Amino acid sequence: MRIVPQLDAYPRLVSFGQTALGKAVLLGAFAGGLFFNRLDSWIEITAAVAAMTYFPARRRRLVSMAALYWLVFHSTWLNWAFLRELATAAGQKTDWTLTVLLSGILAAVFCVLAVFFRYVRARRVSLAAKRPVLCLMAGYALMLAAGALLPLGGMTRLLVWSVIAVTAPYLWFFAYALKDASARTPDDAVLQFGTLQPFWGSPNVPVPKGAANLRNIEARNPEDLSITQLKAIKLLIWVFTLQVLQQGLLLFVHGAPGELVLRLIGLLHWTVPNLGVPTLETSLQRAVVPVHIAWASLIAHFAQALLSAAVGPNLVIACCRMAGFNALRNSYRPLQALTVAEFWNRYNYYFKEVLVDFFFFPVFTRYFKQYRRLRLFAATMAAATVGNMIYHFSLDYRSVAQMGLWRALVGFQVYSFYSTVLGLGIGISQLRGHGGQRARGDASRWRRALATVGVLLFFCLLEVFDQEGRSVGLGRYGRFFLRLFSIPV
Amino acid sequence: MPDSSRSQRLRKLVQEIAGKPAPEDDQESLFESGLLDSFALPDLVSAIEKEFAVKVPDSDLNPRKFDSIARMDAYLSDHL
Repeated sequence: MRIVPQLDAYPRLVSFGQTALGKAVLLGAFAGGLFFNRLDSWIEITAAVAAMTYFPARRRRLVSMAALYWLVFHSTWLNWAFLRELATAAGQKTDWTLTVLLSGILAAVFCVLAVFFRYVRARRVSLAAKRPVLCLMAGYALMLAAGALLPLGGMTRLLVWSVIAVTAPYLWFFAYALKDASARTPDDAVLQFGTLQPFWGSPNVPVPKGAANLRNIEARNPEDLSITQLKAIKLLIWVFTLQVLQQGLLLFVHGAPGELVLRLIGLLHWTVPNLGVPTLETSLQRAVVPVHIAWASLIAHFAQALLSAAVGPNLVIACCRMAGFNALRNSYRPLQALTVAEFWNRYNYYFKEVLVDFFFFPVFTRYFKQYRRLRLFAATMAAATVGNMIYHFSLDYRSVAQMGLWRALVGFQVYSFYSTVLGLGIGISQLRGHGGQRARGDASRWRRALATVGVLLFFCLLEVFDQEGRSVGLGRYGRFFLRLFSIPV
Repeated sequence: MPDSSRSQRLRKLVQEIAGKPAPEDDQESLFESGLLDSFALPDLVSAIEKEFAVKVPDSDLNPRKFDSIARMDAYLSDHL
């Protein structure tokens, strides 16, 4: 049974979606979907998508124009609170002069990227051209180290940390752009710009990857576009369903409904009983938590994490599809995974793709070539552990600025532990081959159910350590973990 | 030139790796349809190397080269 009908599989609907009226109906449905999914900029997104629908030949240029519009009017990916703090500390004003300063810095950062992009294209044999992403990361690491270690003050400190704060949200987008620079026919600078924090929104993780992927998945004809847009509508309905489920769960388990459910309850004058389970954060802070409450908090937290990965990023995918790019979903049936590696692939696809593209393949193609199993394990650890840590540490520049480099590194111990166990889990799962997947066809229903429960239990327990806060040590999370098994600490 | 028996063998390999039947259409993208992912690419390439006794260089380890049964078939035509 399907909750959302396969709209894109009905030939009549696909044909209708290619007519002028059909396009208008699809755009109307899309606008309604965004509105019900509570996306603030639903009018602007619909307007941008409408332009791309009616002028498909100019789609990629329109994506770039929309990216520019979002940069000017909706640059929520820039940490304005942090930048204002810096300016205040440097004795500078936080009014329009700060905006002008940051605009200049951002323009300079884009210019440096453009020059580097051209260099990679022109000097293919040089080390920097062969390893552009490594150079990008090394440059960023140096800036971070300089900001943290050099005795900077006043305007110099403001400038250095502003460059870091402006670069960080673009870091992995730049990485995809530089990867594209070595393609035979990469996109030009204008088209690349549209993929850097695109208008459909994809804070930090590039969704759906970079320009090379956009070229691959762009609708080629009116029929393609109609199918892709019907898939977008289908996804919006699914996301809305999940949002209601997510907020209903919040209400039923924690007694804390989200805005959507709160409105519905108010409208219907319902009184909904709840289980009163504390959130995982609350349970972690308590000195004593009964075992059943600890488990309830953890399971509820894991369920919320699963739903969150399927709601926000898939809403972004729906907008991307409506613009004419048939992108894969971010979260695709994770509960059907039979192995740890398969779950990781299904749960948060685009984050995993960043790690695979920039850590897994580079290690896999360079090291331990004579040792097949070691090669696979090392590449998996490079992605799921090292890459995972680098990714998260690089984006949390604010902690480095406030705590200093050493304390920020020490405070990163919990997430480092999480990444290490995750890498080991996926690595072992990879080494066991696709035994679990092969079993899908012939294994009994019970064996498959058992495999799924095992995978979910692994990720659920690991969720205890999926914490990016820097102020609490590993000990507290370790004690909570042991408490789950009634082990006294 | 497409080789039907080779296509069948490739289909069998894809089914083994993905745990699901390969699409009917040889041109259909295995990665875009979600049947395979880049994480599974080394497994697929290893299986192809073993099955067809061919060495795939690391420089060819690109999802696009193995994106569909037809592309894999074309790759093997060029390298066998």
